[in-house]
Amino acid sequence: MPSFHDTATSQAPPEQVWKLLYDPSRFPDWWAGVGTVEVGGEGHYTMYPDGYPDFPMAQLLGTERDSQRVTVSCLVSDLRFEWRIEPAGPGTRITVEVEIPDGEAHRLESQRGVISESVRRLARLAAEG
Amino acid sequence: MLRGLGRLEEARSAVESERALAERLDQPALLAMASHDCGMVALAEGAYERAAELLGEALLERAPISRPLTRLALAEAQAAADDPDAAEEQVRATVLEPLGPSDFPDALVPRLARVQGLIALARGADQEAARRLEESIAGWERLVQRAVKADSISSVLADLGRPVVGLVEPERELARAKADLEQIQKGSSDALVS
Repeated sequence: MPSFHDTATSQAPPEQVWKLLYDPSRFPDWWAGVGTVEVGGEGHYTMYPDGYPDFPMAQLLGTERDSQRVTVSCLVSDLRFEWRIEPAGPGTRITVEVEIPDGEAHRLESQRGVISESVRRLARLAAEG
Repeated sequence: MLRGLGRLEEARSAVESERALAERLDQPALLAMASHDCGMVALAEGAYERAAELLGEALLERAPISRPLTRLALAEAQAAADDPDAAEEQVRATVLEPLGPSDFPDALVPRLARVQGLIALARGADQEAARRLEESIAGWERLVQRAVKADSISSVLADLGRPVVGLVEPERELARAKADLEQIQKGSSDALVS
């Protein structure tokens, strides 16, 4: 299964990054390619890609009792994004691991670009408070 | 439940009985759970220093409580007891705790924003406090639109194996955040008049 990871450091404290990461309604503010989001319950939300308001993509934001990560899974294409934050001095290190199913392997390079831009946007936005 | 209904005297009586039983059984997890419940009642009563002490004790052992929610309640007590630095440390520790369904992850964001507002208020940073409270209000308003109480109750029962604890009540939380913000705005207008 194709996979990659990316990382960025934000000057913001962990709680500022955390608020953006755990609130899907804020994803359009930093996640590249996300146009709008409709939040449901229990971690479910629907994402509409930028420029494609007629293409709903069901997503699930999940947490696990035994880990400090938040996982975003696309329920349409099965892409999986696992985000972690950890304190880094006065700021925060943000890490994301991405798994792409074999059937979507052609999206590897485009996803690298999307995630690289997104993780840096997240770091900047958190620092703006 | 009694605390949620505002029947604080009865709630205090109930948690004091719980604590006495836990002391008799001498099991750390039960004692921590009783400390949590006593601390939440103390917080509702405005006994902030006592609440901070009890909620701090609740975090020492592996108790069937939501650690992130307990940390935020502790931070709220510390901010109200004029110890914003300790409260800020608890907020930071909150976001580094693992989360499960009974922690109500989607409700933690507006709850945390409100506590940040209270910390800013304790520091006299009214503008920052108002900004954080507005952020909290916006989050609770979104949750009010889609909250299903039965889901919250079943999450707690399934995850912690105990009756309703830390149940999220978006309407109540929204009202609290609005009241906090109104107090700041009133304080600002009073300052302008005087």
